[in-house]
Amino acid sequence: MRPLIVHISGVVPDEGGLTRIPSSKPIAGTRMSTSNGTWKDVLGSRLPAAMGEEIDEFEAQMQLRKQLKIEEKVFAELRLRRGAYGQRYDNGHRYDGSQTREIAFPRRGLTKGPDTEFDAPGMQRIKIPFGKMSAEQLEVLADCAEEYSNTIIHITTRQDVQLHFVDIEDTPDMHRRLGAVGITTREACGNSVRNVTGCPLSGICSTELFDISPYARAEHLFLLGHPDVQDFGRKFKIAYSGCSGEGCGRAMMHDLGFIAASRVEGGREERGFRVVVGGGLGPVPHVAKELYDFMPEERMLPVSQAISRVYARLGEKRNRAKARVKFLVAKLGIDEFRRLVDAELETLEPDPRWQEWVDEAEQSHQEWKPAPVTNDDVSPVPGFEKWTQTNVYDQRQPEFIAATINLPLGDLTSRQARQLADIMRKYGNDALRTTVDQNFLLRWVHRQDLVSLYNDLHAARLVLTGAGTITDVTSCPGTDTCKLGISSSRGLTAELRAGLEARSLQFDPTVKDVIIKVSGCNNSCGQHHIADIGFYGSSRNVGSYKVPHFLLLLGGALEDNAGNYGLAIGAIPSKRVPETVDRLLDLYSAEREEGEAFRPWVMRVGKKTIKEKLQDLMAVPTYEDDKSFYVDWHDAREYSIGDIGVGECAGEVVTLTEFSLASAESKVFDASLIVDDRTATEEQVLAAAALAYQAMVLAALGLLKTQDPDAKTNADRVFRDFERQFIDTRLFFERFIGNSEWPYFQAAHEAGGRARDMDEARRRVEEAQLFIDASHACYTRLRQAQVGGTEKVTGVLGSTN
Amino acid sequence: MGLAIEDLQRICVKLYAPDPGVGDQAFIPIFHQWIRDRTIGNLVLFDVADYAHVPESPGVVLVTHEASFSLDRSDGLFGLLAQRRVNGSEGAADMIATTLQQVLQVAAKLEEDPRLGGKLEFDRSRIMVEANDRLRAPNTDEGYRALEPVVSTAIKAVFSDSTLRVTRVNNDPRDRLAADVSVEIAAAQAS
Repeated sequence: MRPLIVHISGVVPDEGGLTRIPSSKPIAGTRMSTSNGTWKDVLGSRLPAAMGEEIDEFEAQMQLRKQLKIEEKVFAELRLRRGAYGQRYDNGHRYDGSQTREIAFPRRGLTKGPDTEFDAPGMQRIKIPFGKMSAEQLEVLADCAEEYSNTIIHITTRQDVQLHFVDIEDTPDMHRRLGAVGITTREACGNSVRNVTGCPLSGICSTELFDISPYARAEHLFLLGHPDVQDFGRKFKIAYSGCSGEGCGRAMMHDLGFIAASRVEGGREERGFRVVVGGGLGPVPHVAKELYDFMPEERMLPVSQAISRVYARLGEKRNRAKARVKFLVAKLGIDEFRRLVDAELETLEPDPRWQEWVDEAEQSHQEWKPAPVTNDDVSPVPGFEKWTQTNVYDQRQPEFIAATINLPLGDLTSRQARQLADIMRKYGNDALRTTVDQNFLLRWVHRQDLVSLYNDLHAARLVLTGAGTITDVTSCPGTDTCKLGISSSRGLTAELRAGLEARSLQFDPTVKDVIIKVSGCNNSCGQHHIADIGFYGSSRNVGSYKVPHFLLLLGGALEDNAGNYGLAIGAIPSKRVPETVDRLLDLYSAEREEGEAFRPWVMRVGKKTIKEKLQDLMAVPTYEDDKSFYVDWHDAREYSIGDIGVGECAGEVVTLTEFSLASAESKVFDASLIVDDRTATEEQVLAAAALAYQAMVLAALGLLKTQDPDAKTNADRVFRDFERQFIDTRLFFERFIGNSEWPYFQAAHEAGGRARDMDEARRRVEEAQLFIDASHACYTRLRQAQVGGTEKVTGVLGSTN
Repeated sequence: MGLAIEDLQRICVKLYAPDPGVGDQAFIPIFHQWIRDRTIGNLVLFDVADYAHVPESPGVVLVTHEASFSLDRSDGLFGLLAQRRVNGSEGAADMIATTLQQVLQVAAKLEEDPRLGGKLEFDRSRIMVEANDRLRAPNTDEGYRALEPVVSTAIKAVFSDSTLRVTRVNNDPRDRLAADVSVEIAAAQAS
């Protein structure tokens, strides 16, 4: 049994997770059963208090879900907001090549979300803001990959890390271990602000205006858990770019993009950003629109906050397919959207963090120039020259280089990760970046150390060449693990990489520059729209069979912050995609004009002509003639789309009230564990009373949020507002529920959350549970009133009414 | 603070074999067929993962609810590695013994699969047991002193008339605590 750390606080913690009321000294837990203790014991002092409380709360919510005391829909969104995502087959069914059959998970029927078996393994997404990672963090990721996953660390196209085949019950300890080294999984999934991405070259790039890293960091910290980003209809992605011309930052394909800019005001150069909004890929791709041509740096955070508030207030909540901010921008028009953001800016209460974090950003803008660590007489092991041609970037700082560690399909093993951590410590400034091309970038390596670095990377088998070239094909997980995958993007990508690598010596530099990206479906996690040659998975019927296909797009571009999307050409059977790529490259090589890049060639020749030249490759032989077309890459089953599940790219919309009630449940659960423990000390039982009071405040706050999403979170204010809005109006009361529960909250509040003795503390915990039950009942009535229209209840569910 | 090795649940067991040279992709149809046919009745089989593109990786993995079985090269040597995925009610020695029996079961089925053409033959005289839990079994001298008798008990439970030699795997302290077991199996069991 896990020990419990109780933080006594007279005030409800705010939901932002960043500004907490100081808690008193933790009281040691009482339920330790192993002499080693738990990760919670071991790491307690290394975890920020707020983060520790959040993880404890999630762990308690998981226990409650197992007891069916939290709705599956609510728990799904709670776990998504901790980055714990679903994975293929978690609905408990799998197509075996002839039929779909049930998977006999032991606790069949116990779910962790709608149609999601509790026992099914899932994916853990881990935020790496702007891709920056230390050696220590990489080592802990390696440990977690070994103990909770299958030793494979996967880098995504948004600079996150993903671990697959993770048991949900392992996630709290994993979160603690990651948290202890400064990594958060909070809001890595779910309807909130996802990982803030940024150019991996920032700070060392020769085309950037200035280093965006500190600003991306400030944005991440400011919005993480911020109350204004908790009520979105869908996810919200932010990217920072240091220049307008290159594609590393991908700002134009994001919900919100910041592109470094400057202007001269009063003879002084002023830093800021061009702000773009409403971009996005997916089935309906949009290029972002310019919201402001220049926004001074100190306005960056308030602008983000104002946009978030407009999106939360006006964004679609019911129809997920139309809920991204790009649809809101398209519906309103960019001018009206700007007017709303400007108006929102006027209403914001000044927040000292707006300026503090920019100041901090400027202070942290220090260049690091390590001295060389090796002599220059080291001889390289084979392959050095080829590797340097594609994997070495000359930093703006003349003595230094950055090396790209090209990861096949974005994967590396835990052992490689540890070797890389050693290399980071030896050569660099302990800073690695994940890249949006699913690679690593090791920066600030002294030019004199290049040969030695190569030798060390070679020993770790991390010297795959061709970074950023045609062989460096990126891919989303696709049908390997994703519930939405239609075709095997990773299987195809592995085939393409192998085939292109074999041909790479034939390619001239222009062909080598062609970029290929693959997604397993049209949701575009592989970013196929912005590749010269892009593919996304689809299915076609041939006779009575289904055949895996990939839809071909041509002529997208990374340049201009990924602001040009490819043209759809047609569907190619999966097994003919490698041949299609070969033919495209041959056509391009033969027909291009002097120096003509791939995209201009596509635009000049036109999709109609290109399609005609590929037409024969779009045909599918009959099943009798060639069964291999009816089986996907790296699979052995006859193809089916029967394994596609419901996506969790964004969970179901869970209201602020439901979140608050779930937090209340979690708190009272923790309190009940203490009072149920016969060995608990008096001090601990009295602390449980404080927890019970906090739970009541959270329940009341949840109801207040039906009236005002911005309801104040201070305990006194919650009590007063609740009394005014729910007691004086009798909204809280029903014939059998609520009448007797309100005095429990009153008494606890008047006592300042304290109990006189252990008996009263135990009673307080029971009363808190009753008050929470009554709050649930009240919320149900409010929802029914809203749906049925039988009672006028203003502002229910924080809607726009 | 002493070690609670008896609570150890996360473990890996590996059986080595000369690389059969059949290519990792050869195992994919075999595992899919096993899932379809529910070949291993006491395990809930449900997925196949492919990491063959990563050097010295788990290669191709048969995923079951209880454990993952990979054609593993992560220590540079080919073999079949079982990684326990879920906690059970058994003690550590029983857990290791159960997992070892599962590895032996999977190994035997692979060896007899005609698609591999008789090229795969596991060495049952060498077993690697890894404690996949840095909290309960840290990679320290103390950790090894606690683990070693548990491993011996577990292997003896499977190969009752065998003679064992258990040595600590000399690895990076950041790696997982592991024991290499040489097993001299009585003739009757070896068959």
